[in-house]
Amino acid sequence: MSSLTLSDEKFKQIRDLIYEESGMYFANTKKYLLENRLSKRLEEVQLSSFDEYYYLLKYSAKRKEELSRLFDQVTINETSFFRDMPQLQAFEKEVIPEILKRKDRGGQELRIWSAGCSSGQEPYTLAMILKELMETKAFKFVPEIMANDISGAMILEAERGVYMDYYLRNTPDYYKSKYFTHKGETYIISDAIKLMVKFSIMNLLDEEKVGTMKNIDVIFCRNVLIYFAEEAKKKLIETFYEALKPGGYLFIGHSESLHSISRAFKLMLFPNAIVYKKE
Amino acid sequence: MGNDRLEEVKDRIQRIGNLPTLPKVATEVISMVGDPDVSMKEIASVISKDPSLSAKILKVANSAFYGLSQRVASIQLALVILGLSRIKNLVIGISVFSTFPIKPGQPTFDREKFWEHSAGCGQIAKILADLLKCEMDGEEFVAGLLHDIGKIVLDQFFHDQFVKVIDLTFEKDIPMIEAEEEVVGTTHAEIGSWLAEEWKLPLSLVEAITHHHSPQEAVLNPILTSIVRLSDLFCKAKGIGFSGDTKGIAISDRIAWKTLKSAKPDLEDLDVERFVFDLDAEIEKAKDFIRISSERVQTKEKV
Repeated sequence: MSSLTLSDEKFKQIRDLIYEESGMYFANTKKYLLENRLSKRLEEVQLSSFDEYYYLLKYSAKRKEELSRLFDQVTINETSFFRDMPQLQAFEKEVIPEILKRKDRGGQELRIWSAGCSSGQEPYTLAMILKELMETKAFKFVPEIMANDISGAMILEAERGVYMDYYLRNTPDYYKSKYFTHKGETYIISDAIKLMVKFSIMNLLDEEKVGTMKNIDVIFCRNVLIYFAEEAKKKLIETFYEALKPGGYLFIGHSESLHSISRAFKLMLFPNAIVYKKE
Repeated sequence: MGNDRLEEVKDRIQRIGNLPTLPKVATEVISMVGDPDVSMKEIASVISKDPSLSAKILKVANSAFYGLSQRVASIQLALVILGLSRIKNLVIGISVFSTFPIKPGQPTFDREKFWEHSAGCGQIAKILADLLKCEMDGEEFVAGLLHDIGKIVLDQFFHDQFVKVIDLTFEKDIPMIEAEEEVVGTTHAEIGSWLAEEWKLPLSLVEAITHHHSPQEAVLNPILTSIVRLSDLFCKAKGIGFSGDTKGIAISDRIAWKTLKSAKPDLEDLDVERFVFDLDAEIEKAKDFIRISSERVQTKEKV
């Protein structure tokens, strides 16, 4: 294994660069993560120090390319069920009840959009949470969950609904036994949950298609923005804003920030989760 | 009215026992710092008479808390490097822990968590003050540390009622301060304010404790009170504390935010997200402060 060490100073430089370029932030307590993940990348490009790597990211002609490799490296394998509990708690305990309580709601509906859903872990997680709320009689109608990804392969995977146990590492036992069938090393999502989610292929940069999403209550778009250039990001966030109903919420990755992208939303702080609200 | 009930609360505390007092050395330092005739050397000698306090001051001075480049080996040097006001505030902050020692493992009101929240609040106040370039010589840290001190008094002298307060907070999903009004008839802010006055703490500190839930009423130092209020909210946003409050907070809607913004317009540009992400590391520093302050120091002089 490599013994590359990342100095505090270099860490801060690389961290700030990533933040500027992507809006994704690595707090001091996450230094180890950056160090581990990037050490591998340094080996691949045969660099012997983080100084050289920083130079590559900052000044080289291949910097854009390297940045996207870096984003791949730092976000890899992060799609699991029940990812980031504090966000899901905010969704379940505050956001949904608040939306349901709103008196001026037009009709009985709840529309959730999982934008960039990968192989379905996120929308299925949301479906399970909503299903539980339905069982406690929080609401009686069937919520709509729309989920899409740019990759057709991912959408097929999602529709198949079969997962290696690795993806369930954050899933509470209660949900595991209630909503999955365990078969060998895999878990199969139950039909009841499957039926709640509508999957489709969508490129989030395809304005026409994205523009058809309307009257949404909650959007989840986690760890997707980092792949888009500045302008595209701004445009997408604007589209999200348009797609949301007044009072609707937008969740982005737990270490992502909209600070330099948009001030349209109201920033809401929940315990260990930042959520954006359209007023 | 709250005032009558506050008088009753005061009476009852006086009857049961004594109002907790700050160690004598702390009271002495507070009054000496305000006296222009007192020299630094005299203050140093008063502090040095308390070996445990002195040891803790030096430990904190040399910790990441201040991030000094130079090692501070004596109280006199600490006074020169950190300045009188900072040392005074440090003395107040550290002394509180000998007045209200941590008793771990309390099921209803966990003092460890309480101090974690309080010191976290102090630490956040410190970064906010730095960020907004309001030099406060450590007063913001102590204000954050002490803002909820009235809760400890409630826990110590009105334990049963305080348990009811906590239950009611959860049951009715209301702010603790409202539950206190209902059960006790007065609030931790009022009780804390009284205690701070009795302790002869600086008036801006008393004000911050009194109005940390109503920063718009602060007149002496509204910036300090607003910073404490915001720190309290940021602390909640990081889930530090015992309140179990899950409500979302819109910082920009808060009166404290608006008060502070009118005095410090650059607040508008604060990258709140980044600020929140960075808090984890800061809160660790706050834990160091609690650890050092509540240590039992073995000194040669004591043996």
